[in-house]
Amino acid sequence: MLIETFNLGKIYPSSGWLSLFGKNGPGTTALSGVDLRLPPGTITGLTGPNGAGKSTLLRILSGRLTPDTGTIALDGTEADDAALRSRAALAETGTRNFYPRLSAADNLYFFGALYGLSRAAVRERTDALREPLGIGRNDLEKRVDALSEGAAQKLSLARALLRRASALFLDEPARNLDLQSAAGFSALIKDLAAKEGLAVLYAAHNPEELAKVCRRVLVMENGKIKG
Amino acid sequence: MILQILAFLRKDFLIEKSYKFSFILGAASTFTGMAVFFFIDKLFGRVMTPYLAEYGAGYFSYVFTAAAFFGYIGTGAGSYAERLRAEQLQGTLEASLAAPVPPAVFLTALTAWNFIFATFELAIYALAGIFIFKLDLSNANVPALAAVFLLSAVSFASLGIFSSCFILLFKRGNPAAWVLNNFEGLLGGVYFPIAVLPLWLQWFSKLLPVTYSIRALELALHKGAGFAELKVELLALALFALTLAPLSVTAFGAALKKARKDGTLGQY
Repeated sequence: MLIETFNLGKIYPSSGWLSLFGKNGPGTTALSGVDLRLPPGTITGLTGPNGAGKSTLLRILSGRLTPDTGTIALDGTEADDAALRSRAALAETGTRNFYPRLSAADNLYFFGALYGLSRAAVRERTDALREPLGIGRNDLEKRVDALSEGAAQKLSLARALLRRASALFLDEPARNLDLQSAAGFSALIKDLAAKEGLAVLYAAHNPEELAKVCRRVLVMENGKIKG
Repeated sequence: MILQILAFLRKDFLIEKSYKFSFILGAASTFTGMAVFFFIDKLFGRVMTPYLAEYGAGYFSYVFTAAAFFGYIGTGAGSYAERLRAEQLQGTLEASLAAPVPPAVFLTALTAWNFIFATFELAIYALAGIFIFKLDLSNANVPALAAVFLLSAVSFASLGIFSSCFILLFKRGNPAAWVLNNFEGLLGGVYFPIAVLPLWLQWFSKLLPVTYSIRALELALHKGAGFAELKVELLALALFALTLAPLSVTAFGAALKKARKDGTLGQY
């Protein structure tokens, strides 16, 4: 799936008392005039300093955040949030957005079901992802609140890869992974992009990590893509 | 849709099961609460009787059934905001809403467990009422009761959905819940008939769906009142349900859209 953005912009509203009455202050500009082209079957890197707008861009492209200006097209057709959510997957790092008192496996069953996947389908997909992501069988049976940061990160990646999305957006996916798991994940993403025609946008700070996986790397600063 | 609702049900059941003491303590507090009203009836029952004459029930029968019913329909009023807040605090709200689940399906799935558990609790209440506290429910008009339950559940669920919009947008500080929690019990006829209230307060009571729900319930249960005798109450409840239900789902959709626009869906 080809993903294109045209003049994408996002300003986060201010959060003062006046915002209750619709009187917002200037707000924070997170994105400004972003034009982007993500062809299918390619992995594009995205780097930049903290606060550059990388996460905001990923969240807009995955349909979790609505842009204020600009448009997004999927295979040449303008797409709204709902279309993006149904066709794109996002894996964020550093967030434990799972049910802590459920096992990792039960969490995957739940989120898989939200996308229409049966337990059997989730189990089959998880089995295929376990080895490349380095997920131990024991980790799947553990409660999420008992998982290490690395194991939780792998769970987040597994959830993003459960269904066969057309686009994949990764926000620091290898941050908490050990070297072997990071290498396995890189190989998996390259394989998925090539075989399933995924358009992948991979955000990270580490240039070596990006160089191993990405065909090209974009640099973001102050809400704009440089160059 | 069914798969998604079942997924929420299974998830919520597993989470509740993991809190082993919670269910046992909840059940125990139910019985102690009812015992308080039982002994209040024993102490003051005769004084309340003139206000209860039209219902054909003593104080304990009145309050037991009203409180049980209010607890059940209150599930609708309270559980949407409660569940949404829990999802916010766990960080799972945005991840769940990232899936292509329509708002109406999400809302149904979100509280399905609460309603099922409330039905189970209501059954326990009924059995306790009949076998422990010796309530006489033999006059009950079941079809009328079913209509009261259905219309009340829809009305209260709608109020609960409105309440959840505040949670979605403002996280804490929920004026809808404040009104529901502080006035429904006082003005709705749950703990005493509204005839006990001064006339000017009774006018406010008439603005609340709970007033019609409780009145219709008590008449259908204790006096066997049917659709003809309850037409005013059933019509009021139908109006509440038919107006509030679509409005509340629309409001939730709008609140969700705003939260996605502001980028606050993942905040708590």
